[in-house]
Amino acid sequence: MKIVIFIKQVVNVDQKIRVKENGKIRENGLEYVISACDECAIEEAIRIKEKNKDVEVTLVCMGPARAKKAIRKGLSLGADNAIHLLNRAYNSNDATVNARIFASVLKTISYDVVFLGKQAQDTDMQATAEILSEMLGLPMASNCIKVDIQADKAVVHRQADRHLELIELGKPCIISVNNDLNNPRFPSIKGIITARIKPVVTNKPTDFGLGEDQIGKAGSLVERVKYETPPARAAGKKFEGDVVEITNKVIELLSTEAKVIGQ
Amino acid sequence: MAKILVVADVEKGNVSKSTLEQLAFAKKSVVPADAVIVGKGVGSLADVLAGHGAEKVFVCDNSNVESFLNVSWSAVIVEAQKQSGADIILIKASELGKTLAPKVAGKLHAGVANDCIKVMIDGDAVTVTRPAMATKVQEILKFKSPVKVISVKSGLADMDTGVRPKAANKINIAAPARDPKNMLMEILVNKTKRIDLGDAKIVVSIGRGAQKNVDDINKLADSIGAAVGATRPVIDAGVLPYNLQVGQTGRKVNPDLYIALGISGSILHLAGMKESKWIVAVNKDPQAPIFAVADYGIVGDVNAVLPVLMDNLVRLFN
Repeated sequence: MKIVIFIKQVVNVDQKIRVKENGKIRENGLEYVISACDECAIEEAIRIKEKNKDVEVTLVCMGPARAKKAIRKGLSLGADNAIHLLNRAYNSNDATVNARIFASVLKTISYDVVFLGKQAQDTDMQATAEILSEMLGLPMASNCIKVDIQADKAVVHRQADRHLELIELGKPCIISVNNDLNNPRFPSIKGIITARIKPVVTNKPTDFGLGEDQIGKAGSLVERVKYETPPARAAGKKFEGDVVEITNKVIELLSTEAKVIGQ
Repeated sequence: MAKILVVADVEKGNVSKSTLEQLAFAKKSVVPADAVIVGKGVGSLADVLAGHGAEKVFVCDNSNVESFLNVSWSAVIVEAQKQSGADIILIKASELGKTLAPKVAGKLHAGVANDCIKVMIDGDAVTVTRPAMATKVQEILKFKSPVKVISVKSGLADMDTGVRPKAANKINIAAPARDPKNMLMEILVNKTKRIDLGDAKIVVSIGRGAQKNVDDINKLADSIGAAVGATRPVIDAGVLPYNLQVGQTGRKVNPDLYIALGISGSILHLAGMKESKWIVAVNKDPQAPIFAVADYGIVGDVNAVLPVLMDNLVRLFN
């Protein structure tokens, strides 16, 4: 069985992120990590590999040169090989372009199951897996928190708004996963050492049949005009002291100042 | 000339507030709007949509589309768009809407943007504002495709109140055949009677510091008509189901009032609730990051604060 995982190296959202005056992100000194949902996808694939014979796990990561670090980490966790889609301008691709590039890659390799994170932690968009499934005409389930790959189908639990759905997808299929799927492991020393000799092929996003006009800003249907700093919340009031007194005070403010209760 | 197609969201047998807000938004923007409604037994809601301004209502009322499946529902919406000629499709930014929007976009070769908080229509030009990077930034996106698919959070416009249903100009859409390669076999945890997190005016949310008080908090929520949410550690501990997780990859909510009980305020949690209109935080640690976004902070133990909150709120709401 062959599992392909599309992973993305994203800005670590735990750090301070600043928007420059020109509407771009200040990138100096920012730290990058594998997007959380993608790391869960890797963990899931490795667990499947540990339980079954003849499982090959391929990582595909689009990004600039620094994305190599994410690829090496994925390989050290247990993936077998990787394709690096070297693309400095990856940030101007919209979801349609991402899906178009991924579809062009999948047309050149064999696979049974494709994993993607539900959303990348930088764009928070959630659209690539869905559009990819339309481009390739493959069954897809999003936001999965349990995955069971069987001989001819995948049985997944999709987290819906109010309930959990048990969905069966015929293979090959696309599964987008939530970071509640599992708790990813840390790389072992052995894993880190063997990752160094695992094959990584570097390609351009246009190496699989697409033209320059089909990728990047030119190929995108949605273009980012700029980033903005979200409006700051007005400074709040923090009360300390007798809890009955301060709680009553807050209730009063909710009614008289915020006017959200007791109206 | 722009035209909107609102994908109706049905919540406990009624058209949800978000959908009515989207119709009010169309009216406010002076853009004509149609609506599409999918499900089993939903046909009778067409008149509600018409009352709120939908010129045509496309209805797919069939047991083949009783429960959501991205493959069949997206096909119905695409058909409705073709018949309507609308160039802007609006969907509620729920888990359902956020997976449906890109499926529809993929079929229509349309651009898509999820989780939008603002939509600006200027002639044929459409731009949206949406949070990104765990709400640390927001981005403004411009559509370049003729058809635009947009999922929006609640609060796009104030819904019309006091509107009466009126006879809809109903157009039936046939349900697609079931796809054996994409089948919903079972709904595992059944819905609660409580209001959905995405529609609630008040959300009471549980962090590790309030994990033990879950029964009282459920009672409080029920008596004031609030939804209950929780942080990831609380969900992971099995106290509440996964669908109640508020955060970057869970539900993103923006109610009128968000009450954070025993929540320290990790970045990932803040990403799911920071846009609430008013935030009350209760935490015994005065340095907890949640206080940085709270309008009203109560430094104290949840065990001590909760009974006082309950007494007051239950009295005010009943």
